[in-house]
Amino acid sequence: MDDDRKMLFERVYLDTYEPILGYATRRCDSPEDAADVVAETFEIAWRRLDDLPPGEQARLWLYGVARNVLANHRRGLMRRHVHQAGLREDVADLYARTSLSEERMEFAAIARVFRDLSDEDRELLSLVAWEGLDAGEIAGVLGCSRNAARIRLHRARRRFSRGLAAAGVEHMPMSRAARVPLGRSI
Amino acid sequence: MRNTEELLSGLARVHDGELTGRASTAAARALLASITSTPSTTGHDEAPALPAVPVTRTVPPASRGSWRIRLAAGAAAAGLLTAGVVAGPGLLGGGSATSYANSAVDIVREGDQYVARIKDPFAEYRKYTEAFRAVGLNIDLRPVPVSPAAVGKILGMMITTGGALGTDAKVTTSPSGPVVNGVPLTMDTVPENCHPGREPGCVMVMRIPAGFTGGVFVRLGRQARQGEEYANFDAATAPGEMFAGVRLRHGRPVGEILAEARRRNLTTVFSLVKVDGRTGGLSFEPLPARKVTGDWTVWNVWQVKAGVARLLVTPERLPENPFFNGSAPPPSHS
Repeated sequence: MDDDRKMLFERVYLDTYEPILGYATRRCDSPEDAADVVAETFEIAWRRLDDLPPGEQARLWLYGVARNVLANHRRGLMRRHVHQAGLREDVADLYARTSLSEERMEFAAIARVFRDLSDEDRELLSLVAWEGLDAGEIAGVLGCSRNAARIRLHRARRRFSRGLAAAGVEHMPMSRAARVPLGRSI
Repeated sequence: MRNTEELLSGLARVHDGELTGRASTAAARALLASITSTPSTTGHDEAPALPAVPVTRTVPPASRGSWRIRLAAGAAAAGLLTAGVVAGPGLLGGGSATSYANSAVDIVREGDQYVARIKDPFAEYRKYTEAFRAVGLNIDLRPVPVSPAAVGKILGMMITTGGALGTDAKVTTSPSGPVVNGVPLTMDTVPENCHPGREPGCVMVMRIPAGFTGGVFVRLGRQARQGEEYANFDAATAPGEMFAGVRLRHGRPVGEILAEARRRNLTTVFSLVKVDGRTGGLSFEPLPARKVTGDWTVWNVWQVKAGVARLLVTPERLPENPFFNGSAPPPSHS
């Protein structure tokens, strides 16, 4: 029944809206693009409600959808959701904030190294640092095996470390035990 | 010395922790309403028209195992309750206490039921989850702000049974709601028909059959805070609500509805309804009042928050009311 499907969807929407908004905002250059990615991701989720996995898996599945939406967007293929004017305004304030000034210089150097990585390396590192995922969860997002995710992640970290070293940024390769799930509310 | 994640974390425009509450902004709700106004495709047509007898519907396999959704729409007093029963690999970790209390809720066992008294309907929902979990129940109770007439009412309920573990509970429906293994699962206010959050001593009480190993997801109406938007925005024409008794099946001129709003002391705002020619899906665009004239047509009204209604309008008359176009469920009681 429609009502049950709506309930099911609404529950997933309420649970995942914030992480998907975060995902889009961290990866899009403008609030318009971020709003479009959020709207398109959830539209797809509604159309494919029967494919949506239960529980915590839903968030990972939606990251995967958002990732594809973003890739299409970069190829100029995404629908513009101009009617979601309110959503764009909602997102705009996230872009209005300025970054931490005292560390800006160092951040700029890190940002440059990060930007010079391949799209794939950047996405792998972002999923860990920004979405707080582990290799198993990343495998779920990317649709590869856990082992493959682990190897790709290891290589991405290595390339990033080398880039940082070349740029003179001091850092320490992360250890799993010391890792804090960043960007996630408790 | 810092690790890779810390360095990259500093590059993030925003952290998820800073986005708490964003899912319930007006814009996020509008997106949700817009999306669910289109038919959700697969499985849609097999939905049962007669919900008196529970029916089984198979949903394609999800990533882990498969689910089955059994739908059992309950004929609740308010006509608002739908009980969907999802049988699947339900795993319940959990507590073994027989009673639990925190600042939000008290749970005690009384015979074959757990009785949960919701002391603070404004509490963060995790407080309730924590308490239910402590007594071994998997209940996801989400109080949502609603209009005065819907306070203490269940806006929707979904029951998950632990079928894969061989603990499949027998769920039937009764006029008062779902019945699990012969024991009803109910939601009431005590004293009866009082207003929790508005009257001291008035609490919401949920009764859950003991031994129920499944999960329950309940959206429960709570008093809206000052200026807070209603989650039951689409019930404006239902009895007791803002536009009770107003019929919009065939659309009405803006002028008429504005006069009605004045009589009821309501402020109005407008949204333009756009119908997607291909999917029939609807989208809504906020519209300044000065652009709307009395001869436009109102197709639906949402109750936004106390004293404020949103009229959903088009400049021209449409061949039929897009909110009643067959695929989208009609607004109740219109």
